[in-house]
Amino acid sequence: MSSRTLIDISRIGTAVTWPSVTVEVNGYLENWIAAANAQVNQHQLRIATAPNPAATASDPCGWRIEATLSQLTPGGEPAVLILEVFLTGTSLRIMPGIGNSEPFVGADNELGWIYPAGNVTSSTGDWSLTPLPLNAQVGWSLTPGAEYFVFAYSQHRFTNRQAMPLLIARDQVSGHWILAASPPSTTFDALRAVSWNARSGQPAGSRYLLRESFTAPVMIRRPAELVIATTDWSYYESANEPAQFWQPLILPPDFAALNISSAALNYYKLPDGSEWLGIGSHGLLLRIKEANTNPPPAGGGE
Amino acid sequence: MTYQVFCQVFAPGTWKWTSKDPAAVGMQLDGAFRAFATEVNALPSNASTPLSVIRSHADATANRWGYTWQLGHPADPAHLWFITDSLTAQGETQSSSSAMFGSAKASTFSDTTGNGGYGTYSNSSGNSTGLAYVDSTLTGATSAGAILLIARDTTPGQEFFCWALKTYGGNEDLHRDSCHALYKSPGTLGWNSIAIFPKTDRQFYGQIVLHGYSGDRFGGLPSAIGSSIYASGHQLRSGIALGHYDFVLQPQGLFDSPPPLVQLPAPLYIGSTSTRGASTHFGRVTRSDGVMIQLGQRSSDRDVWLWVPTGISHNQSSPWRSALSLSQWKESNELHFITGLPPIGLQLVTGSADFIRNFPHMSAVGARQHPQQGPLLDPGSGGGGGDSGGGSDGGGSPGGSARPTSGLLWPRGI
Repeated sequence: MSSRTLIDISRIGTAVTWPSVTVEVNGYLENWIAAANAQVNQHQLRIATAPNPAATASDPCGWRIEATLSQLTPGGEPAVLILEVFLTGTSLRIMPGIGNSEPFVGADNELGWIYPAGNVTSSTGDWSLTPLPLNAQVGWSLTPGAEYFVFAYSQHRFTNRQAMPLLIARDQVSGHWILAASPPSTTFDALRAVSWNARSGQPAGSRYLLRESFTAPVMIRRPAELVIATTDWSYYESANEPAQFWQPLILPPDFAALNISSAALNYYKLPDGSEWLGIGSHGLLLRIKEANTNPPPAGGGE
Repeated sequence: MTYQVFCQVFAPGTWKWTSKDPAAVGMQLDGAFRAFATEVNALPSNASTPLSVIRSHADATANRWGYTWQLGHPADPAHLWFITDSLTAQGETQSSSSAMFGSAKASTFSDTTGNGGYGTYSNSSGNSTGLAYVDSTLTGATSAGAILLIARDTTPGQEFFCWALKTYGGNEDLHRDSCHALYKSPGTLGWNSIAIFPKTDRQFYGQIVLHGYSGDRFGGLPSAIGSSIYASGHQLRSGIALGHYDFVLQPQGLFDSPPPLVQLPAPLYIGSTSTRGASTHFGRVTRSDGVMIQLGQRSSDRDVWLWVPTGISHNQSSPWRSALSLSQWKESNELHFITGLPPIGLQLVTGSADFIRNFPHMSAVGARQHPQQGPLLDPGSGGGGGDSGGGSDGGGSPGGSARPTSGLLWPRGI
């Protein structure tokens, strides 16, 4: 397996495609998780629920992914990150969470976990049952320290049919896994992410990428950073919680942030020679080609 | 010394902004700035961008009090000023602007004794702000004192001079604290400026004023602060990019890379503290590796805090003293301080015909650029990784390019 892979799994769109697409993605995901767990042995990824290939249009179909980190909770147990991505009918729902039982033993329901922050709750979008061409990509990397797996699709040009149903990536600061997804939604903060912040010792949730305003010139920003949502969380729901210090959540260098949204599977060729593929509808880009070794003078504050 | 933080306390009854007394706050601020300017002007990297004092409290002739500083530039220096215009601003009775934070090109300056001694400008811009108290010898304000805090760094490339004026005493809700910093941002040669006047329930002119002086004019910095800071009301961030100091040319597609981003000076944390956090304006968070102290006030637009790492001291003589030994700053809680990471690379996605960068996949042009769909449309072109993936070289230049070598070559990149 090469260290970085990108596969086109687009469908011509003559049938209800979600179960068949997700089952195909799950095959790649299982292989990648096996390799990632061997390589990143301090953390363990697990597919708690896999897509059901026999799902009808009304059956829930998708994933529940769990990541058990080497980081301990305040209770002294390994922290567990959870991400659920399920399509039921036309509703694609993203639910980020953390294991709340001590120790977390895994539970295929909502009882064993809670949201990572007070306002990082579920996020939903629509899946069209109308046959539509489906552009879909699966990419992964096993580059040490920068591992990721991503699945993204676009049913058409509008942001309400573009999604990133799955992103698993190493936080470049803590080394923890980040579990994230964005539904097909025009809401700018519909993305959901969960990780664990080593410095603050608690879960880190996010609803959007750090990017320039849409009124600014269109630009690609690196590194791709998730804005941490610091709302109340149950470990510290008591009044007068101590002040918290956080390190940023940074995606691997194969990702960047773009300040336009309707960019899913768009292709970007930049003056430095790098080339990028739009992922989902919330401004994430995946690097396809490295910058030239002698790029023009960089503009960023370096 | 490099980074230092120090302050002076002006006790109730002696606090008087409207004074030329060498020991009073105005001339002490002037002295601190002059000392900083002397040091940084001696650095070779600042030879073409020296700082100087145009006006100070010593020049006041009427009811104006404050400073005008000059930002050096090889061809066209500029002025910044903070000048109060009320002799009686006192707490709750003060319901209008009592001060102006302004900027202008030095060439528009008339060096006269007009305007209360501060001279006039043919073309300038200003932002209203205010001090809650200017004179604690007046009736009704005798319980008000003030602290002048200076944070400075003379390290080449990260020059930083920040003053914060915090009044205290009486009704804590009535105070209006001010903070202004001049600094160098990575990638820039000239001076940048950020002034933060937190907006509070009682403070009508609160604002954050960002300036980068790019030679011919001040650029108002379009701020990415809004998207950097989560609007949950108790989060402060460092390491954020404030914007570009010249914003106008970029949408025209003239730059491949934007000008250097102006960054928030490293010691400062900016954010929103409207819903939780320090009750008033003297918050402090002590950690094993340093202390965070509040320079601003509880505000959604915007509070500002200063990070003072353990071991930071100062070499100033009395009456300057350490800020951390003062009792005004009280241990605080409930806030979130997020250390950010400045962007390391920014590239513009320009859009004119000769600079196509964005290839929508739903178009034939876009699909042909796509690393996998492109070869399907045009197998002879070679394309990138094809259906076997191998994304690291996907989308590379076509092997047997079908692009004509003569005739109409537009659009490029096909």
